Amino acid sequence: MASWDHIAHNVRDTLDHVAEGWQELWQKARHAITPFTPSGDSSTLPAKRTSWGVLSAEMKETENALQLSIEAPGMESGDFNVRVEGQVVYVSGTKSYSSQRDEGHFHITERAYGSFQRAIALPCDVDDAKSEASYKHGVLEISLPKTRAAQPRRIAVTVDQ
Amino acid sequence: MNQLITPFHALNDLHRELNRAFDDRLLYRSEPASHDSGSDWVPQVDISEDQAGYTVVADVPGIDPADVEITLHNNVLTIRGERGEDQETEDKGIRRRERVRGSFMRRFTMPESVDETGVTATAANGVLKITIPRVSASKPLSISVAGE
Repeated sequence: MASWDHIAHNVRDTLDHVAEGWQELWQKARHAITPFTPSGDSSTLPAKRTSWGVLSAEMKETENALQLSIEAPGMESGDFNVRVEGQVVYVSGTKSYSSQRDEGHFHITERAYGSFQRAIALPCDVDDAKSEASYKHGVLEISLPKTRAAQPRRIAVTVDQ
Repeated sequence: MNQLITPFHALNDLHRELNRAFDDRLLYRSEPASHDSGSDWVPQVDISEDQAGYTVVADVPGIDPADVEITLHNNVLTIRGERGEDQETEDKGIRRRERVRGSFMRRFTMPESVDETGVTATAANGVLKITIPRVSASKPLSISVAGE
């Protein structure tokens, strides 16, 4: 006796389940979800629409520096633009779509293409001029040395004789 | 749900992705193992098709290509690997952690017979590109009908 109530109950359950999953995902990744907007040279299908990509970041603080790593596969190291403004680092770039075989059609397009920017708040002031970045296996590593003022200061204790 | 500050387009995207996931399933049946708890994360892929065959492009940032295992057996393509732990597992100094570590696996059933021996894979900048040629099209057989 599958009544409408029963079906409605099941649908509600399913929706609650999806909402719960979505909320968890959102809490975990909301800062990393970044829109990719189409850039000039986008003639192929996956590059024509705005899509959402996940630029997962990790930040580690040591005594003298901040180490930031961002997952951004499919770029060239020259495609990134990293800039520091106050206590915010902006990482932007353009992921272009390239293929030698473009007469084909797509079955699945999950990867995001186009221009993106991600802003990440820093816990302290950094020395922009001494910052360095490298790119390996699709991960951008940025080293941001702290300014002298932001580094912990050791206070020497003098011992009275 | 009320505390959820969700941009509408993000929800629309989710809706579209769900629809697409179900559509895709008709062609590329995602094996149940793809969603097992054994898999910590799932790489994003593009799959395209042209006359020569299929191209699977997968994002696997932070992974040494040598650590990725790709198999194609009975028309089932499996990509698996692991993103290792940081040398220092201690959480000291961690200010933000969004990157997921652990194993990943993704599996697709290719829609028609493909040439299992002709598969090639390359990797660059955290992206795997797997090229799977079709089985060379069999020539139409003409069968002559023997007379009396």
